Amino acid sequence: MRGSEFIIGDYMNTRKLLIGILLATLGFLGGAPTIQFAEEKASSESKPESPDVEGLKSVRIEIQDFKGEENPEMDEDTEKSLEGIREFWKREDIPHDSDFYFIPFQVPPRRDELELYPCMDCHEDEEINNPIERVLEEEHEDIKLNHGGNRFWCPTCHLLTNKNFLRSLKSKELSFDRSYLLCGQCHFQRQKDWFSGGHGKRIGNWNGDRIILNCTECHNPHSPSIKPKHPDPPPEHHQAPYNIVVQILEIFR
Amino acid sequence: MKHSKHRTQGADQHPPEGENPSSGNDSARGADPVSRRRFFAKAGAAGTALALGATSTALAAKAMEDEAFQDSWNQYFQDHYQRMTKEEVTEALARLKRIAKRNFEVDLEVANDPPIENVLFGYALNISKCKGYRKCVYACVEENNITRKPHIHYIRVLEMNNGSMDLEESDHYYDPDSVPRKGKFYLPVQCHHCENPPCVRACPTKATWKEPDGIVVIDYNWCIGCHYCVVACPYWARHFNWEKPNLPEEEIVKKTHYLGNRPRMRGVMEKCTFCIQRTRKGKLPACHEACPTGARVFGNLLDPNSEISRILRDKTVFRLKEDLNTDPKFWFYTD
Repeated sequence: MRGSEFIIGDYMNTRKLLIGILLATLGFLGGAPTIQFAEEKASSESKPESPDVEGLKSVRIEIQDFKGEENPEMDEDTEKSLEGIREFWKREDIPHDSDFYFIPFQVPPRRDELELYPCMDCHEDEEINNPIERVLEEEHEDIKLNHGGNRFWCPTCHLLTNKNFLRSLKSKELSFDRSYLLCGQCHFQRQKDWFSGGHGKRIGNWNGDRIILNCTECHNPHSPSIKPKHPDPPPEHHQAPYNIVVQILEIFR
Repeated sequence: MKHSKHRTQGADQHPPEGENPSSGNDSARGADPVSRRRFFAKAGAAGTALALGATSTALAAKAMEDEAFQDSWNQYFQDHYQRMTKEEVTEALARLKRIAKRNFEVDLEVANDPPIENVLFGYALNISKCKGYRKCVYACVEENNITRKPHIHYIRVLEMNNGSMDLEESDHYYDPDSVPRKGKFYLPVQCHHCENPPCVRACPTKATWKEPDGIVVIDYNWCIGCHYCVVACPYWARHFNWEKPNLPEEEIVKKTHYLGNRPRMRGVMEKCTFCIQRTRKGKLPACHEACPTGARVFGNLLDPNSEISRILRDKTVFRLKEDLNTDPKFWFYTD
């Protein structure tokens, strides 16, 4: 049994490591494809009907520019990471082309609807930025962390230095509006489905601009599994008299 | 008595037989005390009929001026939706508005949106996401102005045993404290909008047909409520209106469509129309909007970049009772 555990553990580690290395390299090289893309786009303006460039255009993911963006560099970062994901799915050993997995989308902003945002109103005080795992008693006591099998604590996903942002695994700033990029770092299969419509929920229309809900609209990030609920009432038994007859017959049986 | 009547009927068709007593020939005989009584009775009846006729014609003349009577009269003699001219359709829509105003005291909007070109609607449902909360069922009831009592539900959520596709073992009356239950999965079934719909072929009056955008619709005014389509449909999608529409005034949805959610009369069939009044305006169906787990995907099958086409290409999908060759446009898939 121990041996098998070891093998599985080893396999998991190598897989994670490989993906980590891949994503990291893509992140580092992230600049290169965007520049190429920008160049091709620039050249496409002179030759608008070039088929190659059209292919690239369709891959591009549109991101809505929301009002009151604090950090203008943020957008470049998220676009880079999206480019990285796109490049990942473009790899030769993955059988589909990257177009397959992407439909342009928009996500309704979420950050300004958060009750306690901006977080830095309180967290500017260095004393309360305590990264040690403990029972939360004074504040945030309603948060019951049930995610990641006890391997997580607040700083896993929240940036310690600037609590107004989420933290990617590379310790980069991520806006609360783009939390899907954070979730996708582990749940990349789900993220792939979410990009192409197999997971998640579209709102408003079936035609035109595709607006889909962020992961956090349905899943509580601190306890993401969907909880059991009482169902709405069942339909009436239309054949009630028949059932009475059956019941009477069953008495005499 | 019954017996002899039967015999005389027989005698009309066949040459008279010798054993047959001449029971039907009383009236031919003339002077009888009975016949005088009968004469008076007949005269009285004729007199009353005449008087009734006179009053009724007077009443009818008065009624013809009445708007309510005119509306029901014209509605009764209204043509089939597909054969109506533009003027007739606008007349019919105005009539429906007046009737709704009279019956429910609401200002209804009855639309007549034509199908959008190059659109074929399709639906996909993720059964690993459906948890059987029945939110879609009640959203559908509200959106489509469905009679509240007796219950009619266009969507039937089947509780199935894990590892089995035996529909006979399924239960749609489940009501546990919390869902999902262990060892069960949930399979919502509604109208599958078949490309080869058996209900359309079964209809003796051609009151139901498939629109160019793939939606199977009913002209409620042309339906005679014969239930043939109920028997023909393998997905239990067709429902009969047993009672007058029992709708609370404040809950009536006012944006309606002639072929969709306008309040129906008693004695006609009705079914899911993919919320024709919403989807032809670009909106999503009510069940899609209500689903709390995002299990439902709706879109255009002819658009290769729509979510539904990608699901059909990317995921392992199946359709219900595919072996019947109904070619439904409703797919189920898993994660």
